[in-house]
Amino acid sequence: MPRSTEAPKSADALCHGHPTGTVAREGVETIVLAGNPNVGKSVVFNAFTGTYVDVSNFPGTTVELTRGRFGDIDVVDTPGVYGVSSFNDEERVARDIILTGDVVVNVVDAVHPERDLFLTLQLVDMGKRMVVALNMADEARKRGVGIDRDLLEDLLGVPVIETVAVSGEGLENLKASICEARVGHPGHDIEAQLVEMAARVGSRAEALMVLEGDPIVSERHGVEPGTGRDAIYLRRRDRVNDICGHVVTETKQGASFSTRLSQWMMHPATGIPMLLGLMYVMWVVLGQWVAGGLVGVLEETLMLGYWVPFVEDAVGSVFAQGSVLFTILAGEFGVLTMTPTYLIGVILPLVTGFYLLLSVLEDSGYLPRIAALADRSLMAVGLNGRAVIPLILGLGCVTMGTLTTRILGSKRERFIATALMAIAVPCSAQIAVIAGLMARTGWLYSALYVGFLLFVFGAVGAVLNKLVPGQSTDLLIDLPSLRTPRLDNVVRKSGIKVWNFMKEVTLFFAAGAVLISVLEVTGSLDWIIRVAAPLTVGWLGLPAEAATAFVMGFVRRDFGATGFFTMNLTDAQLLVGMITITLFVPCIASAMVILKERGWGYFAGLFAGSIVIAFIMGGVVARVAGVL
Amino acid sequence: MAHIEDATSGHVTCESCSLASARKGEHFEIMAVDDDFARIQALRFGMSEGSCVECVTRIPAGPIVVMSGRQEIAVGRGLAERIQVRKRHHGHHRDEHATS
Repeated sequence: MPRSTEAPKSADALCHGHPTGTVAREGVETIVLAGNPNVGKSVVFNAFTGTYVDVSNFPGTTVELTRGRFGDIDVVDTPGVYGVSSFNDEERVARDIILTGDVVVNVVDAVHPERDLFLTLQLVDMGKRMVVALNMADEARKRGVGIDRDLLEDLLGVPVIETVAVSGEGLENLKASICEARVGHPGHDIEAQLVEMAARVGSRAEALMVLEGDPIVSERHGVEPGTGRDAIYLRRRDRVNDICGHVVTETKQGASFSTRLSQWMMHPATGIPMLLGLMYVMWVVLGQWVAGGLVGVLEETLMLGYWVPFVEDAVGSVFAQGSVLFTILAGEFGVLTMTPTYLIGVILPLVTGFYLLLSVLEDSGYLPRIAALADRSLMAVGLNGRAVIPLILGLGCVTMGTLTTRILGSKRERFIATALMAIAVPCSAQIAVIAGLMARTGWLYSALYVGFLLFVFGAVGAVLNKLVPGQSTDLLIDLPSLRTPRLDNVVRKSGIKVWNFMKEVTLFFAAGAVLISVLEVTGSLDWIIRVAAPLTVGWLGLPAEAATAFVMGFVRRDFGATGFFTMNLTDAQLLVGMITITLFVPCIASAMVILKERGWGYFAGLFAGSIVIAFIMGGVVARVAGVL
Repeated sequence: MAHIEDATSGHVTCESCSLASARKGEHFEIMAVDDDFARIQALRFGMSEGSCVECVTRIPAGPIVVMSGRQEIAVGRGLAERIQVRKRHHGHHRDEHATS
């Protein structure tokens, strides 16, 4: 079979010069990318469409679908799944996209063919026209895993292309091979049933889903779900093992450094010191270098030194100082003064630093090992180790963390994880503002802040673990190979995340600034400050103006924390303020996601609960810290 | 490929027990997985009933980490207790795999 190595200039040119006759050229409309988690699907997607999407080394990051164009052809990236069925949201999404796709590009990790070919054979049995991208061919070679590509191609009956997606190797071949996509050789044992069922439900792919007992697809066609799933799966597993037995050659190597490192990461005796070391590095980089150094320069010198006086002069020359519009534009909470000062001076540098570190963590494969290490501890709050994924992503952005709770195994775990994140996990923007403020105090207060949050996290988790009905699932997670993250990947990926994050933050900051300024000029703010005084002054021991910060906290918690910047607080008052605002209501964006994912009742309970917990804990901290 | 004789493994061999009792370096054949979702998921990972795995780490009070082929899999302690295994002696399963 001749295969062009030329890049197609466009979709029209794509199939010229490939008179293979096996594929109707006009039939190609939607290409669906399918594969297990962390096999490099997103990089392949990027190669097809030219737009960069999230690429990571962590199971479950691609929750959302990503669409793009390859010439005139639609390309859809699906969540990484180990098989097509309806065990969770991601599988359901992937299943429906695969069912509707015209051509499937199945990305397979060449290091783990025994795992990945299970999905491949399921796609083959579905009768999808497909191409297999045998990705990470370089890593497989390095690890002594050889795969006989020609033989694999013969056994599967579909084109198999070796690729190294991250370096672009083989991707042009892969694009060219789309024209040669074809239906593979299915397993024969259920052929008769498949043909019969396909006649009833319309397609072979859906027929397979029905026979494998998929309740949703069966219901769509009004047929009884099949009962033969275990038997079909077992025979498919046998066939995968048989194929691997023929095509895989392995030069067995002794325990390599990465194998030992992997074990050290997971064993408490070595893993906990490593984790603490990592946190120390993060604290030095984010807390000392970025918050202490860079933020100081950006915020004080650049923004407060040059930008704010400039804007005040400019706005003052149009609107009189003290007028309503001046206050809104250039006042204490001005859209043109306070908003850019904190966005550019404080949040941007810290969020950038945070996402860079997070991307390194994701791409290295360290996160699933933290999951194994933390499994025992998280069981105390009704979760399993897998929950570290949403929780750590929640440190980046609670909204993203909440979406990622979909990877958790039960409704109960999603319930608990969402609540813990909304209450006790500060997002990166909030950490940015808080780090900026806490940099003024000693390390003791930073440690107390972290300690109190961990306490609330554990306490709320333990209570929810008792109260929430149902059964939590056990950890069962595959550990991707440890890799040295690629700098270009990390930079591009964090760049996109920071950009999206900043867009959202800017919107809410600007809207919040207008809201607060309006409250200020109408006198409502003074009224709120007076009414809230027993709570802020009496209970929390803060200045009366702290009420402003909590009003701002309804917009975003980081925005709320910003409200403390201009107050002259003692270290202890700062600690009280920071803890209270951290535990306070989740930001509007994550509130929307929580509402959508968990419903009204949950949302209302969480909203009220977080306010109550925030003020109770704030008061306790105030007494402990001896403010009063 | 070195064969390690039964006598060299210093403790009582377990012919049929749960994966939760696995120790580092031991090889097992998976006999039964008493959890519907986990059985399917393990099968997809390549850890089907009848396949062989090696215990690579036993996290105190935490998950058992096994190597199935080249795939490391962490199995929560509770689930490991519901996975019935039979102890194998190092090397045997490879010979068997080659002839299957």
